[in-house]
Amino acid sequence: MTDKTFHVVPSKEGWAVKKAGKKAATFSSQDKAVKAARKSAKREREAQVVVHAPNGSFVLKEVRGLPVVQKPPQRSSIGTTRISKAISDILKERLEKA
Amino acid sequence: MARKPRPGEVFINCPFDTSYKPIFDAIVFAVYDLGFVARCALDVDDASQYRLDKILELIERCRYGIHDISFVAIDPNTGLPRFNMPMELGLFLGCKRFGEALQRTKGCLILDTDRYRYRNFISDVAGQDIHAHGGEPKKAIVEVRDWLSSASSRRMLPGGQAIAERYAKFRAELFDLCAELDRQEDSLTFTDLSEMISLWLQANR
Repeated sequence: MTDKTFHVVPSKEGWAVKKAGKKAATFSSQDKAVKAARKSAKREREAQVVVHAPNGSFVLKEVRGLPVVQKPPQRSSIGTTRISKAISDILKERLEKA
Repeated sequence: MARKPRPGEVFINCPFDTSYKPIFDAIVFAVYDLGFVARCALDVDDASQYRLDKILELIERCRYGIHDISFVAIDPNTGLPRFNMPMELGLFLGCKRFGEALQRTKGCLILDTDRYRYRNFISDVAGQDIHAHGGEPKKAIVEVRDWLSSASSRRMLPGGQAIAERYAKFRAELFDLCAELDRQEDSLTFTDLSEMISLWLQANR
């Protein structure tokens, strides 16, 4: 199964668009990176664009060909920000290794 | 006041035993990956509400129900069968049968380890959607996906195999995720797990 998510992440050069198994592309601004990620997502039958903030939180910007993941009605006492950061950290580490 | 059932909510009527947890977690994961919300008696933390009231409220609210009757067996300690799941299944079917017009649009999937075991203890449910997961989380995911796809008529749903592969990846990362959050996997509440699954899926499909 191939990953379907284009990740827009902060990088040394500014911002990068990363996808597992693909070479990262870098951009001078977040806007430019998001635009490029959206353009790439449009070429796929199923894709998502996720934008990661420097503080570890992330936002799902676009979903194509897949149902939108819903939020549960109750919030965990662990905290949404903490969970998001942990998920984002593990993900970024995995993308670095790929 | 009567509530309209929400088309995106799925009532999970399954055992909460530790030995069932791999299947329970897989069902919750599949429900979120398919774009629905999993609801069960565990996610209502209002201690002032009676358990049955909580369950009735959730049944009324959810358009879909997944009922696993695989734990209906003689308890070796009491010598009696456990009947919470069939009772909640009966409440769900009653709500569908006697509720207002929108309640009649409810749909339910009945899961068991074996497809025809129900004939020995609850044969009145013959004619409902009864499927077997054989005690395997992956099979439970495929059954939930195929049934929910057909019952909801939603398009663009991922296939059971893709969901099962994502679930395996989530399980593999759950240990590290819990470590980052200073939590033990077995101490996660249903609310913790639901939010972790939802957020993980948003970033990991």
